Amino acid sequence: MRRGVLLTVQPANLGDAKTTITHPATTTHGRLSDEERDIAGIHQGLVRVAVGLEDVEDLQADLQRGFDAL
Amino acid sequence: MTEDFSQYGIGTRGVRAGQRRTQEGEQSEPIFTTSSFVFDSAEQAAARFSGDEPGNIYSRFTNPTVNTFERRLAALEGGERCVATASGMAAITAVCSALLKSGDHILSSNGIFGSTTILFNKYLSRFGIGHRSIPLTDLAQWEASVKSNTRMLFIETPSNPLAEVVVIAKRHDCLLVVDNTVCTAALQRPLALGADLVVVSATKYIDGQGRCIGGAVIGNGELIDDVYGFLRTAGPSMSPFNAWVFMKGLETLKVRMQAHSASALILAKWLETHPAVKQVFYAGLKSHPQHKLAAQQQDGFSGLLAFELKGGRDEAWRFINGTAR
Repeated sequence: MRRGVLLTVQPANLGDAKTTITHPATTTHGRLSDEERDIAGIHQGLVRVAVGLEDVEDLQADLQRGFDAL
Repeated sequence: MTEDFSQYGIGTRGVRAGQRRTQEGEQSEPIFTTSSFVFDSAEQAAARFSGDEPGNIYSRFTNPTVNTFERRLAALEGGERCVATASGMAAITAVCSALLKSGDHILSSNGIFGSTTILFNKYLSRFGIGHRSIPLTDLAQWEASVKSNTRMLFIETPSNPLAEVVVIAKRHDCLLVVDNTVCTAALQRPLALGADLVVVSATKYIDGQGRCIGGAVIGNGELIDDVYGFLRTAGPSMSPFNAWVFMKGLETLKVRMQAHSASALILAKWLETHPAVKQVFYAGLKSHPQHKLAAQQQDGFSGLLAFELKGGRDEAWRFINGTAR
């Protein structure tokens, strides 16, 4: 079975050919106070995907692995 | 070759605008890795430094490769002039340093990039510049919050990561600064909609392959000349190598943004149907509250999407870690 290797778990960049997946509340918006984060709408359950240039079917398969892990 | 590309499409501008071939007749743009330039005479040196004669002086503020990138991005954004900077944050710092003074006030949207918020609240405040943030899409609150000393309105549209969109329109006697990092000039041209200045992190889609850090400010007239004056003096400059990478990135920007947007829309629609997902944030979805506005204002919806899982941090981390297993 093909392993999920496409989505790079890294917070800093977006706009890359490589798709990245991020938890904004503890990375890009981690320096904000709880109140500032709430006002900005960055909830703990939020996931950001900066969609890259891989085939979309492969990205979907990796995201499905995420759902399977819940 | 003409320098005016305003009659050409965005794809053509990205490939062609800004190039000035040397006597070597090169097809692709060269990199000038030199810190300084020589002059024919003391008279010429004096004329270059005084600005009476245009030309290269010193790569902190004049470098042919950086200038080619600047001309190309200016053509894409539809501005007279572009000033390249060492990073996207350096672009915002240059705009604020050049155009604000003690006693001025900034109004921004509250979902802006975290470092921009910290720049405003922790550092500019030390120089007597005030800041207040308000919800991006609450137009009534924008109107009500403009004070007599409000000098700058700063917005990111679409916002990162929630993809909120607001109409770009000049209001009051304030500088309207738009961060165009998420859409880039390939999908949105804020200057034509009323923005005074565009700032962008070139590190993101303009590079497109995660290699270099850089930024830019684009605009017209005295405003952008003042930003250049600050850059020339303070020196948060872009390196020639980075400028070359970004310049070549501009050549493929339109087709890349179309591809990012197409894939993101497919994934957003799929995520929206999943029972574990509470909400998807992507302006290309018909369910997005500003979908119609985004469709008018933008030529695409970019590759950035977010979704909220039912649950909290543990579920989000389990999901993220699960994608790589």
